[in-house]
Amino acid sequence: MRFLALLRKELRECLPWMLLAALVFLAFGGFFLRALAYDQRHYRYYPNFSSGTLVEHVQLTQHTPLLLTGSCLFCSSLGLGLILGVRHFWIPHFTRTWPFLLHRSVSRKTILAAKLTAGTIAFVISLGTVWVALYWYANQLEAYPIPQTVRVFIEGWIFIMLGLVVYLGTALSGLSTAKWYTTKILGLAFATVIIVTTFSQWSLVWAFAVIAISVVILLSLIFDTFLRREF
Amino acid sequence: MTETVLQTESLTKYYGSVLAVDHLDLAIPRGCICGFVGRNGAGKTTAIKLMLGLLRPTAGSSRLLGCDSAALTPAIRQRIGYVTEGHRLFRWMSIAELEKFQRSFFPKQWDDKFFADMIEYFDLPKKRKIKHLSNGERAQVSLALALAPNPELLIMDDPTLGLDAAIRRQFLEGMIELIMRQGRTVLFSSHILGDVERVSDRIVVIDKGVLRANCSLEEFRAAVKKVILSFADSAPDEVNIDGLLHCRRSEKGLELTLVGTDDEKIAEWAKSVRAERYNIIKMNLEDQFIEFTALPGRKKMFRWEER
Amino acid sequence: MKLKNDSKYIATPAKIFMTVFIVLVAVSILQGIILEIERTFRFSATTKPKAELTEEEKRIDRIRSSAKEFLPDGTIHLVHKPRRTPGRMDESEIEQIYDANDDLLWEGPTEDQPYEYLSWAEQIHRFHEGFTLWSLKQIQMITPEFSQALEIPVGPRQQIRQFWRYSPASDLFVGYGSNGEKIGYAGSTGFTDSKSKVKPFGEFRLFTAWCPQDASSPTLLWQTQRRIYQIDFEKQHVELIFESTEADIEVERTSLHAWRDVKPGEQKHVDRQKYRPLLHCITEDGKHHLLMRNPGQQLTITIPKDWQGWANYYHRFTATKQGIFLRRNWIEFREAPDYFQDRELHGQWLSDYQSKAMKHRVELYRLDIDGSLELLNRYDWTVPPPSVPVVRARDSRLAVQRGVSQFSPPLYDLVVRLLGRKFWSRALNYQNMGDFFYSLARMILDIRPYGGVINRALSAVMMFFVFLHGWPRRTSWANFIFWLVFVGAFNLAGLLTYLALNHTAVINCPVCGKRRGLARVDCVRCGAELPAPERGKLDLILNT
Repeated sequence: MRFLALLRKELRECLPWMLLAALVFLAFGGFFLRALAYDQRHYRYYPNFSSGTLVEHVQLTQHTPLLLTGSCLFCSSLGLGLILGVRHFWIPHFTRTWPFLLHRSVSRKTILAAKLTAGTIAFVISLGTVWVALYWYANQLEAYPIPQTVRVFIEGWIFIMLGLVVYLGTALSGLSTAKWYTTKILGLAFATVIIVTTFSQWSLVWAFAVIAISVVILLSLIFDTFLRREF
Repeated sequence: MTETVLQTESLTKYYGSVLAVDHLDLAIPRGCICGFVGRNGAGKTTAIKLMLGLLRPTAGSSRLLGCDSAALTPAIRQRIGYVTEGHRLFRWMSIAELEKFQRSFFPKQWDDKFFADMIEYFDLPKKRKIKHLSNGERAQVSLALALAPNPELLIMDDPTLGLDAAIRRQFLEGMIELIMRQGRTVLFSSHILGDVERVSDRIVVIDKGVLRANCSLEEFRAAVKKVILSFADSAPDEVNIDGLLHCRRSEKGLELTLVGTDDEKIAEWAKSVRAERYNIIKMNLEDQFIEFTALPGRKKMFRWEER
Repeated sequence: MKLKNDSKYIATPAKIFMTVFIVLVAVSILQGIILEIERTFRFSATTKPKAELTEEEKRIDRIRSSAKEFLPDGTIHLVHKPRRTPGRMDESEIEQIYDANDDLLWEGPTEDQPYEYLSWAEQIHRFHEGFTLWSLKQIQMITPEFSQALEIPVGPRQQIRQFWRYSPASDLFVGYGSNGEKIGYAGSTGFTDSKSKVKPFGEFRLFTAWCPQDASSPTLLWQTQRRIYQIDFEKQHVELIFESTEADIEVERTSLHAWRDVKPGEQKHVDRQKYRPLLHCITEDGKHHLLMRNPGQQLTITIPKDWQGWANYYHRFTATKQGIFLRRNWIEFREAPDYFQDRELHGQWLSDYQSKAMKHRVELYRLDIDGSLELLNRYDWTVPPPSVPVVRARDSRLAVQRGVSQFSPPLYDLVVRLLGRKFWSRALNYQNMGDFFYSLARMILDIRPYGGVINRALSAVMMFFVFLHGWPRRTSWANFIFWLVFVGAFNLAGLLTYLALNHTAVINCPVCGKRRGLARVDCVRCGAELPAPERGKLDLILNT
């Protein structure tokens, strides 16, 4: 019951940002999907091959009509991660509500778990739901000549998880008591490096491995910092 | 033997290389109303946070209700009410939402009627958000939230800071309500000695992180005295009375701050130095505190101080 | 009393890892920036206008820059294209043709050139025509725009009937109809309608695509580790062109010559009356395989061992109706030692290479049906050493590299040695490893200290600093020694990591007066605990 109360409170704090992220992603992502699907449907990106000519390989590689939707998803995810990280872990410092929160009759682990669970749920519900909906729509045959690949769907979830990595990195930076020009930005810097590393992968397995390792590292650091930090 | 609800042993805290609390030894018995006073930067808030486990001590230890402060269990925290400095609450919540949030942590202890009565008494609309409340109203909500679970130990960090006299009076009345319940212990820090005088039965004075006084309020009131002596000729060069804290000289007079010197000794000494007359000044707690914590040899800054 | 916290056993190594990782990235970026600054200023310094050349220098330069072309009878010509007047794009491109004795045979516009030289099978280069494994990995890269798919449409643009999408996971093509319904699969066994009947092609390496004369959809020449297929999507036919049973086919050197029929007038047009379609593969056992058509023929050639190990050597083949020819280019100078194995040795080789005159050679051979070689003609020319600023530029690059690598972790040297040459050769093959690991491997090999004395000395100085800094702050011997070793192994990155994680406050011990940290209750010097303050005589501490 106490965990649920904390979770409700954290989710309530996330709610405006969740809705905003979902709406922005739905609006822009949906708009670009509709626009590009129309072009795809009318074969605007397919070349006319003339008999007896060379075919450049770029003519045979096709983007999914979700390509700009993917950019919207990625930006929304990063933005949501940053904002939620600040909301959960930086704002209480400025509003000085940590002592009130920490004096709940629950362990610090529970308080932290509630925050992190709320953050994760926020991502899954807001961006995950919209992503599933847009992917489903892109697979409707009216939208695009042939079905989307499962890989595209998984990559979308990778973007959402990268947003989660940013959230954890922001959380770690927020919990750090160091000066911003020393090690306070380590959490955010690490999240940035993880994003770059993930985008250097072509293997989904490796991408997930990178994200999983980074999440384990960040979570362990966040827990350790939060349990030992002074407020 | 009275049970000790709050105990510190050589509690020490460094912030970097700055010593904030230096070997604080305290033992607050159950049922005690303890005023925790000190000048700005004396270490009161640091000490309270150390007791509540929000800070880690550099050395020493602290125990609340028999539990180490560094490892306060949820069950122990349930028995402790805490009013934070500045009454920092979640601004986006309404009073009703905050009540619901707080109640979920005290399923069995929460006194719905008491909370509702307090809110009604303070004339606060439940649907109003915390960010739309004034400082005083927020303090009232904070007190109601802290008192409604009926805590055994109530710790308040400067609860009347920034409140006007009327709100402060209401706040103190709320505190007295708790005090009336048997076996409740209160530790509160304050700069307003009048409030401390009104409700406390024990006073703890901390100065530059060091404990200077830990006694009953009556003992403190009785111990700290100011005596003004006037002389026909000049005042004696040497002032060798027991318990001398400060001595200020004028042309034909002496102003002495004494600690723990009884009236007979004062009279005897006055006679021995051939004082023309002497007067034991009646001080309020605030004056006594200022004298007790004044720096020796403090220079007078303003001209009126020389009069 | 210390708070019990088991998470520190994971969190502490994680924190050290994260911090040193970020710091290493930052230090490497800084080192890279310094190297780039050197390159920028070096190029500005060395791009000076050349002084006017003498006649002899002009002649040597002309010979050096001329294309060495062979006629089918083995005669060699030097084809020189003088530079146009700057800004005069309306001028026709002029060609001058010289013989081996440097006599001018012909001069005029390129399009009027009267000779028909042998044309050669060219390599499929990844930036040119061929789609390699690297390209496949590139299109699968996870980017904000999602990965791309390889799709072959069948039919004219407005009437596409089918799409064939390559699935890297199953190594097959999956076909879809115009309504998006699945229509079949294409693999090594051909086109089928059932997935159970189809087999994968094999580990992908390369493909090249063209649209045949009688088709409106692409045909692919699909190369795997050991095989080459030709896949015609319009006719739904898969043909096995070549299979190597003993060794893998090298990727970079697969060459085509007229294999695919393209329109006359195209840049790649080859006279079909004169030439036979040729596919040239080199397998990793060093053998060259020629696959020819019209008539079909397959030759395996083993290049003499003494042809290898020379600088800038390469071989090209062509097959006419009359014969099969091999062209060999090389320089009479041993090839460079591995740069990444020994930077200094490579630098020395480069200095030698650029400070001496080099004898270049080109040879033309005819191949017999059994693969034996007959030398038809040979031509050599000497290239003088380049101007001094280039040599100096190379020295400055080495000097700056040596400088920045003094701040690199000595651990890099250990890692390079432990992992061995094979590992690093593979790591530097970006086809296999991709950009990320390739860049990482390249960075480590480029800025590793190579056991430099200054690097070791700097590490020792940093360790001494850590000793002085950490001595009053130590909490345990294990911790203290760990950080000493860590800083020694990671040099500057280690020192910065140490300071980031260990710069805690110190005070003067009230008992012994020496500096001590506050992480421990007792002083690390004298063992005394922090003393209690002196109680004032007038303090009112009455525990009533």
